[in-house]
Amino acid sequence: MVPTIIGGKVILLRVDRRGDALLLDISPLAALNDLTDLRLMYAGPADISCLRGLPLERLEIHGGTFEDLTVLKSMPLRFLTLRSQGTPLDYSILRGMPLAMLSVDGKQLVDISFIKGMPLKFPSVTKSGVRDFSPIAGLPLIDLEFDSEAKPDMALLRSIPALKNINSKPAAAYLK
Amino acid sequence: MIASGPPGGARPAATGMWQAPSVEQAQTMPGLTVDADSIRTSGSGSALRMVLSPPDMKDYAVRVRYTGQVEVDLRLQNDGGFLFVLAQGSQTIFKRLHGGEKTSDDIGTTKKHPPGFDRSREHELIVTMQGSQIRAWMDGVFWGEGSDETLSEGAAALMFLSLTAVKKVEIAELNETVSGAKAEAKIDDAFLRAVAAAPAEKQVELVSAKLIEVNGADDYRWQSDFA
Repeated sequence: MVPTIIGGKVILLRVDRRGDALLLDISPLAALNDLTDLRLMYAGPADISCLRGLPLERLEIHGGTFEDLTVLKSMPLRFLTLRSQGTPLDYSILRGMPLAMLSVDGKQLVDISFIKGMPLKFPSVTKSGVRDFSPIAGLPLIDLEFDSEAKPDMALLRSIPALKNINSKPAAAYLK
Repeated sequence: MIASGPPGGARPAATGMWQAPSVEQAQTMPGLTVDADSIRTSGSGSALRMVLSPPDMKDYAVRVRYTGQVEVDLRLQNDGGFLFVLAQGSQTIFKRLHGGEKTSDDIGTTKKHPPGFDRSREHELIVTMQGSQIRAWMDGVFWGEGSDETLSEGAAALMFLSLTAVKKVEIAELNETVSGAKAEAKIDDAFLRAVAAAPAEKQVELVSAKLIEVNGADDYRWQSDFA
């Protein structure tokens, strides 16, 4: 059990699931009020509202059954990963947040209009139902990842000058 | 030895009580040999399926200790369709077999086994089926996942293949309290003050102990990286 401690503060914590037990209740983590980076790897939280007030700039949650994302609005998040969730999530709550990196999935995720205006550089919507990519127009994207069945408008992709990688391929090669 | 009745040492973890199919069930299946410490196919080695749960069980976890290779079948359908996780010697695959058509699709990313993975040694595979999601752990390490939106219920089963030798197999239902209920906050101001007043290393100890206390978990490791 070795957290990342800098300057006498616990600033990063990663919890990996082992075995069959779940951490449904993660409320004790709220006591680590210097955390800026929290990564829950298949721990299975049922509620994340208890994280309210933590100064998280990066949050990564793989797996879980929580439904309410409202708490994210209370954080200075710039990097957010929510993957393999057990319940459909309403990502529209993210609208207006200054995210630089966003990684979300789920076939029920179709509308990404909530990313309009974000300073987003690294969006990933693999394993999702997103097919309309018009909301990425004008964003400072560097890397873009999307579902293998999606066919974004090539002209739209070409209109983003900073774009370097598309689905892990060099953008120039992808856009040929 | 495959346990008969409730397994010794099993704990009522968040996933519910593990139940072990009885040795007697295996003994009634032609083609299976029940040894002192394992069950395997006999003779020709033809694949044989041992059903582990009732057909209406929706969400469950299967834990199997084995050598060789093993296949956990999920969401068995009357038309012969099902989902499965197959741990072979060099890889673990997640697939759906279509009933009637006898064709299969990938429903998850194939996990290539690390070079040191020795299938002749005993391994423990845990597979959970929860909603549309399938996840797998091998020897306590998260191994991979898949998803399927088409099959919402159906029994779990263990498929005995050539080389399969099963030491123990158990199943636990993942009930509503696990998959859907919200956790109740169980921390108070005294706990928050105690953590705030402690040095950083002690803070982690306190929080770790509290997580174990409120969840009944006992096998978590905490990591730092990217330091």
